[in-house]
Amino acid sequence: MEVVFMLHCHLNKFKMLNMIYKILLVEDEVLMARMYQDKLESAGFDVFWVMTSEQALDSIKKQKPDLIVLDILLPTENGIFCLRKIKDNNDFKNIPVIAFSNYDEVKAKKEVLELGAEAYLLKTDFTPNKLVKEIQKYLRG
Amino acid sequence: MEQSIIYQGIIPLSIYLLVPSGILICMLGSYTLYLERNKKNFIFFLLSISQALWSFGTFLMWRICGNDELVIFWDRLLYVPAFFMPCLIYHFSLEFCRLHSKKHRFPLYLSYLIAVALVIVSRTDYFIKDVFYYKWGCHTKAQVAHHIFPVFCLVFLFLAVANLFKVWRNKKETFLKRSQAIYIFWGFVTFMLVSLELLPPYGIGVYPIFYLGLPLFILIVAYAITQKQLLAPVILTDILVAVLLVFLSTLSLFPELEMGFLGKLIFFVLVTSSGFLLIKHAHLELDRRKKVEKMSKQLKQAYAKLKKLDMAKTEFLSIASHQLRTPLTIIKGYVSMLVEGDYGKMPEKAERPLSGISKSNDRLIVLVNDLLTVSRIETGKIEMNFEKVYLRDMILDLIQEFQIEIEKKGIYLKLEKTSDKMPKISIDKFKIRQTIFNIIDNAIKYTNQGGITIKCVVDDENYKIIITDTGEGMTKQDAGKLFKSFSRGPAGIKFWTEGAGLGLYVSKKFVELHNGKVWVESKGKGHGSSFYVALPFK
Repeated sequence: MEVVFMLHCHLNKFKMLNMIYKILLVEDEVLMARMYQDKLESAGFDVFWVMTSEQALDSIKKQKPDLIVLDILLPTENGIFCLRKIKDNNDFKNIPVIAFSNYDEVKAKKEVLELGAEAYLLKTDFTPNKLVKEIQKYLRG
Repeated sequence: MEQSIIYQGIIPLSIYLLVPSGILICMLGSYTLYLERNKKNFIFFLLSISQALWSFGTFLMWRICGNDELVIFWDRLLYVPAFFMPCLIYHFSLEFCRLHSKKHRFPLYLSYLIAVALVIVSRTDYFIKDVFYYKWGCHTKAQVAHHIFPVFCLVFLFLAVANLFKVWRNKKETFLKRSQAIYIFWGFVTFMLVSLELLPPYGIGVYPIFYLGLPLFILIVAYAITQKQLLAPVILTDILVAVLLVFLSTLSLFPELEMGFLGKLIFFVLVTSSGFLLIKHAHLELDRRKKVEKMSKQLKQAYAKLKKLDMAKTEFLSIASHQLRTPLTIIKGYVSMLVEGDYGKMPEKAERPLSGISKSNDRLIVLVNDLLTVSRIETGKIEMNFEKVYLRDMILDLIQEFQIEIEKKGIYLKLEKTSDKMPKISIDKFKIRQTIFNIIDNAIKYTNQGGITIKCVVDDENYKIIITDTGEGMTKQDAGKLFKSFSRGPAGIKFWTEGAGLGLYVSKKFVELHNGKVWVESKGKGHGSSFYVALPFK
C-alpha cells in the first residue's frame, strides 16, 4: 500500500513537472520533429506536432497548448507569419512561443522578439535535453 | 650693295608664321605643364620655350636683314635655344619611352655637354662669320665649327625617333601608348625638316619653306594631346580658340603683312576649319553628354541589379547554411540522446565512437557558422548590436563554460582579480563573447601543462583583455599568419589540426568592427603566448 502511495506521489510530482503541459511543436523536418517529440514526450510533455503555420493555427485553437516551439523557415507561410497571427489573437497571445530555428538572421531574430516571442534559439546550439530545460524555464516563469 | 640688291626685303609668309607658331607652342607647353606637373611635361615645356625663343628670334633676324653686325649678333643668340632642341627632343623620347638605363643616360648627358660646348664656340668666328644674302633673306655664313651642329641635330633627332619607333612597333605596349608614340614620332620627323634651314649658312639660298616644320609639328602634337590623351587633358576647343586668337593678334601686330592670295586662302581655310571644328566639337560634347547620361542610367540599372543579386546571394547563403545545419542538428540531437540514455543504457564500447561523432559534428557546426560569418563580414552584411556590458562578468561565464574541458585536461583557467571596479563597455555582446571564446578555446587546445590566465586592464582609451597561456607558443612567422583566414602554413599544420583556421580570423574581424585591435605576442616555441584584445571606449 505504501509502495503504491509512494509511486502515486512520484507520478504526481512528475506530472506536476511536465505532464500537465501541452507543447505544440511546429517543425517541417520529419526526422527532427520525431527527435524532439521523442525527447519531449520522454520528459513527460504532451506533444502535438504539426508541419505548417496553417496547421499550427488550427491546432492552437483545438488544443490550446501551454507553449509553442516554432520553427521559422516553414513551407507556405513562415514562422513569423504564424507568430504574428498568434500574438494578434487575444485568446492565444499569452501562450509563450520559443522560436526554434537554424535560420540565423539578425533581422528575423529582431522581428520575432519584437513580436513577443520568449526567445529565438538556434537549433545547433541546443541538444534536445537543453531544449527541454529551456521549455521548463519558460513554463515555470 | 650687291647683296642688298639680291635680297628683295620682303619677309616671306613662312617667316611671319613663326610668330604665331612660337606663341602657340609656348602656350601649349605651359598649359600642359600647368595641368599636369611631371617630368615629361616639364621637358616638353622646356622644348616649347626653346622653340618659341628660336622662332621669335628668327623672325626678328629677318626684320634686321641688311645690318650685318646686328644680324651676326642676333644669330649668335638665336643659336642658343636651337642647340638645346636636339637634347630636349632626345630627353623627351627617353621619358616617354621610359628608358632610364645607363645606355640611354650617357648619350643624354653627352648631348647636353655638346650643346653647352656649342654655346661657347658659337661666340667665336669659328662658328659663324659674315652674312650671306639670298633672294628671300639673309643668314650668317657657317664656319668650320658650325659643321658639328647639323650632325649633332641629325644624330640626336634620329635617336629620339628611333626610340619612339620602337614603342610604336612594340605590341606589348598598350594601344594608347602606341598611338601616342606614332604621333610624337611623326611630329619630330616633321620638325626635323626645320634642320634643312641650315642650307643658307652653307651658301644655298632656298625659299624658307622648311620653317613650316614648326607649325606642322604643333598641329600633330596638338592633335595627339587632344585626341590621344598625350601629356595632359587639353580639349580641342582650348587649342582652336588659342589658334584663332594668336592669328588674329599676329595680323593686327603686323599691318604691313602682305598675305597675297595664297596667304589669304590659308587664313580663310584656317578660320573656316576652326569654326567648323568648334561647331563639330560643340556637337560632339553634346553627344558625349547624352552618352554619359545614358551610361549613367545604365550604370544605375546595373547597380540595382547587382544589389539585387548581392541580396539574393546573402539570402542563398543564409538558406544554404540553414539547410546544412538541419542534418547537423539531427546528428547532434540523436547522439546526445543516445549518450544521455534516452534510448537505454549505451554499451561502454560505444561511448568513444559516439563522442567522436559528437565532436566532429560540433566542428562542422562551428565551420558552417564561421563560413557564414566570414561571408557576412566580407560582403559588409554584418549587423552590430551595441549594449553596455561588464566584460568581467562575461569572461567569468565563459570560464564556467570551459570548466569541464579544463578539468579533463588538468590545466587551470582563471581571471585575475583587479583592484578597481572595471567599467562597463559598449560592445556587441555576442561578437566579443565569440571572440574571447575562440581565443580561450584555441589556448586550451595548445596548452597541456600549466594553464591560462585572463587579465583585464583599462586605460583612458581602451579596455584590454589579455589571455596568456603556458602552451606551445609560436614563432614570429606563425604569429603573423594566425589571424588570416584558412591559415595553414607549414608551421601551422600542427597548430591548426582541429580547426578550419577561421576562428581567429572571425575574432579579428569582430574586434575590428569595434574599431579595436587583436594581436598575439610569444617569446617563441615552448614559451607560451599572450593574446591581446583592445576595445576602444569610443
